[in-house]
Amino acid sequence: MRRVASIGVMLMLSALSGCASKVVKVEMDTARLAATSAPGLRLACAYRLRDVLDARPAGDRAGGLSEKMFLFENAPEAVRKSLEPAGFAAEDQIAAAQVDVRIMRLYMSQTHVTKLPVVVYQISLDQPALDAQPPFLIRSQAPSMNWNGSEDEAYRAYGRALEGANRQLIEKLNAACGGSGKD
Amino acid sequence: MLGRICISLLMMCSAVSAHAAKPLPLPLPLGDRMPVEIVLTQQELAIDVPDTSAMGSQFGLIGALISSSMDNAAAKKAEERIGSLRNALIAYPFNDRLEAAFRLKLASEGISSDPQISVMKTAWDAIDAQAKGQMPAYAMVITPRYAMDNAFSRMYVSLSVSVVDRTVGKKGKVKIKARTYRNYAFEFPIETGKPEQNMAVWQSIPSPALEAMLDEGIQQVADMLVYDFSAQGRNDWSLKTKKATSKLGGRSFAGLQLRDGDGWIWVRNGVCACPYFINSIGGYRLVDPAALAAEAQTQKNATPAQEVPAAPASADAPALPTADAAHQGGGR
Repeated sequence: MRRVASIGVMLMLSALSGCASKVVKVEMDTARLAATSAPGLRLACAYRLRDVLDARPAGDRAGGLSEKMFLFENAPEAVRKSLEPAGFAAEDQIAAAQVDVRIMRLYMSQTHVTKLPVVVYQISLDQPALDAQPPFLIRSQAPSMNWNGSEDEAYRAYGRALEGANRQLIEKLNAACGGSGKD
Repeated sequence: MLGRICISLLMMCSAVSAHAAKPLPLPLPLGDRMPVEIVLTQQELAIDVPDTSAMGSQFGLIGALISSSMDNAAAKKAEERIGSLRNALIAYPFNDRLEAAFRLKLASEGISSDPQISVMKTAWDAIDAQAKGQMPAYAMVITPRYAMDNAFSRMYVSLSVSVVDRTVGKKGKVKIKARTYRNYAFEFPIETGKPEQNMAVWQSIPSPALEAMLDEGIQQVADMLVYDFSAQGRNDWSLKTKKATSKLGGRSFAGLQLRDGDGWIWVRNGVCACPYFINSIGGYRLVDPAALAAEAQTQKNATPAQEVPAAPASADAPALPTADAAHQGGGR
């Protein structure tokens, strides 16, 4: 209880005190993030990426690092762009299944020394040839040391988490169709 | 440990309110239309990792680096383990539930008959608005938290509450003086083992039961806050709690027992003075995972035609697979 109390007091005081009296708002750059978060794998089968939907309860608030507050309005565009290198089928190509991605979480939290970017997808597969499957979750967390809380450092961290989620997604899709899809 | 907490509290309090030789009075109620600010800080269940930096820095730069590395490693390990539990709670809207409960409960004799509740989406939003002078000069500030310790021996909901006066200095900088700091926490402890064993226990608890725990935690801390600022609660602020212990289900908890109910207790506790005594109310309900799992199984058997969903918590929230079906990973 005492530890809970002291953690609470620290949180409250950090929210109130002058330690971080000036907030730097960072509008996240979709292209910059997408460029560092490709899955590193290619699809072994023909899947089409249909919908990428924003289901984040916190809206554009993507957490922060030190005095920086990250605002990420167009997360679906970043996710779609970052998945492009995996080789999803185009609109006019035949695909065995359609993939819908709901972005459930995309944020950065921090403790005194660790920064924690988190990406969570809910994936639905629409495969006309098979019975409907329940949606499943993909979670990528990439904790690492918070060195100086810079914007570059934050982008790298978000990129690692997004890349981890994308890689898991492609691995799952490939496993479902018996392929490996190595680059 | 307690000594370090006291030292850190002293340092922080002196940074915030060094000139508050004597706390300003707290009227009853605090105000007719008391501004109440809820500062949200989390998007998911958090995990508390002990901070060893104070100890490490006693050994200079090398010591500080070593302690930072150790803390970072501990955080990584804890984060790897908690992912499945976060997945189990992915549809649980903690912040919305808390706001709804507070809008219902905070109108009270000790706080205000008509509290003006505002919600700051993040701590950065709160700091930004405060720095720009957009916040009321006199307000109650509430920072909620829901978390687990890094041994996974308990889950809890807590509040850090302060009543503050804000003034604008000559250079336009907003200064804050707190009239009081209060802490409230309601915990759900389990029988403890190794962290991985404890996590397995939590993973055996179905999502609806975890959500029900957090719902109860929210209601309990809201009740604690309302009680603590009531006339009776304020009278109890001066109770001596040192060395007091209370029992629940054969386990002892530090603090003077205030209330009890069906399977739970409240205790009054506190840490340090700076110049305030950081007074706290803690509550406990022991978790019986086997009973919760059995209850969920009974419910599932009663409705064999339907799969038990992971309790969609809002109208647009989808039913999701349970914790073990979700995939955790991706960290480096």
